[in-house]
Amino acid sequence: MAILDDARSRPRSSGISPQEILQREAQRQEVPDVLLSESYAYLGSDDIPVERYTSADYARLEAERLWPKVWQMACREEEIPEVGDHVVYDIANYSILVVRSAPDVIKAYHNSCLHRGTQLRAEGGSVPFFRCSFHGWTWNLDGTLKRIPAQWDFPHCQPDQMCLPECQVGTWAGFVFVNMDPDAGPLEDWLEVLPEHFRHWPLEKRLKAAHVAKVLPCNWKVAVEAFIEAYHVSSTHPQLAFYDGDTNSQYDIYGEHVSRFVNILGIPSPELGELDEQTIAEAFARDFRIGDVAAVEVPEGSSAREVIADTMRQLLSAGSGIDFSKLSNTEAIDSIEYYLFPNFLPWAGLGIPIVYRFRPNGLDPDTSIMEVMLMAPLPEGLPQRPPPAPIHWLESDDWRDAPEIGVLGLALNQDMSNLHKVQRGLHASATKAVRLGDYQEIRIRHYHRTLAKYVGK
Amino acid sequence: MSVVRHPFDNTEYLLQGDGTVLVRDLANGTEGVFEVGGRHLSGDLRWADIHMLRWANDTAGGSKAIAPDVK
Repeated sequence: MAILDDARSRPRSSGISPQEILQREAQRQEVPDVLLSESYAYLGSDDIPVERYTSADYARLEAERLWPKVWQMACREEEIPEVGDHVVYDIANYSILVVRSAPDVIKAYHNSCLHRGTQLRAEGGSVPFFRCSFHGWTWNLDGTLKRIPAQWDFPHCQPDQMCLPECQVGTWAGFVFVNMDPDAGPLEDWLEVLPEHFRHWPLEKRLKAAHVAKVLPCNWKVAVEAFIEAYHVSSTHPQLAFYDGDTNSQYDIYGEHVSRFVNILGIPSPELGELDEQTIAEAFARDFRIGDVAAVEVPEGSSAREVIADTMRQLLSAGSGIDFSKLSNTEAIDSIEYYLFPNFLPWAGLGIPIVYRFRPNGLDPDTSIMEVMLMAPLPEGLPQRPPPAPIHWLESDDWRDAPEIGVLGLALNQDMSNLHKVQRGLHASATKAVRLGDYQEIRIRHYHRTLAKYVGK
Repeated sequence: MSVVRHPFDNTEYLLQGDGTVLVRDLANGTEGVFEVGGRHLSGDLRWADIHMLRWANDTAGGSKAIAPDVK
């Protein structure tokens, strides 16, 4: 049943709201202040044109007007710890070399030889310089020209004008961002509220413990949108209804680039109604594989949410060697997901330490690339920082074949079973329009406004 | 074999040894057998929730918790 919340002038699901729960818990726990507020605005109820997801022309416009203009996460700093270490970041029809050119300097270059355009590097690694495999043109790591074989034949190529064209580089929270637009504003402005919010969850102190990538049979925006609302949870992940306040989730939008949802766990779905606390706790422990389900017991006067959070605090402490006994319930178990336009989704808290990235697959509007990273808390005082997980390209259609992401793979399998049907259904649409809810899908509407500013339609 | 209960439909899902899923309607006792992908194979119960079929199949495996250990 939907009720009208006069204070927010919007309809919302019945039942206890995330703010009611978090404000109550903040009376006895240290709940980050950024989680104790809401930032919603009604942005209209217009439909989204289907062509944005299906049209090859629209994908080409994105390649012309969007991807060369926006800040986007290219890699982790920890992936290029030594001078000469580099990654290749491909986006749409572009390819960018991201390299540590000096101990404290990271640079990014268009990955294309200035001779006849050959990719300088097909994949990441470590090199003393960038040498084109075709004719041997060579650049230093700082982008200056090192050598042109038979230079007598290129009197028109002055060495001081033959530096590799650069992209802008910025870093935040251990991530390296690039922007192909030399006139783009600084990354700090682009990030809007993210640094303020993530001071509570410093991702620079995390280790990329897993990294799985897969080509999906849908447009990159279809994929993004499957992961920025919890409205789908009761239908696509019905097993979660026992312990997930799905349609009671909170949705926030900030500026032009950032949004988030706060999805409360340890309470039943409003679609399910009342449920006893023991059933909630057992279902969560069973599905999230946290401890012995038979040993789960909700004491008189306590709650499933409290018991689950306690278990997670203990597991997180044991797994990292860090004392998480004071971690708030919401940081221990809830789904708190941020989105940074256009394709970067870092999760807050510690219980579900995910980062998603979505990319178009070349210029194909019907496929995309999804990446899942797990960001583990890094114990202090380690003699050496463990290496980050290399990327695991998943060839199969079963995310259980990526055991490093645990039970997350089971939920992703359920999500995946929708995506190809969404893409095919969009092509078959008679209305040529996508219809969105005013509240639960506000993050989709919010980023489409920004997208339209770049693409022009 | 563990039984997975559907939160909304008053049905339960049981992964069988041959990889199919037996679905039982607890309200009237009807049953159906389905492939994990949703195709009906036998029985009077002819509709099942494709996401619960998937879940019944996948959750029977040995997946671990999400939070990775670093220590």
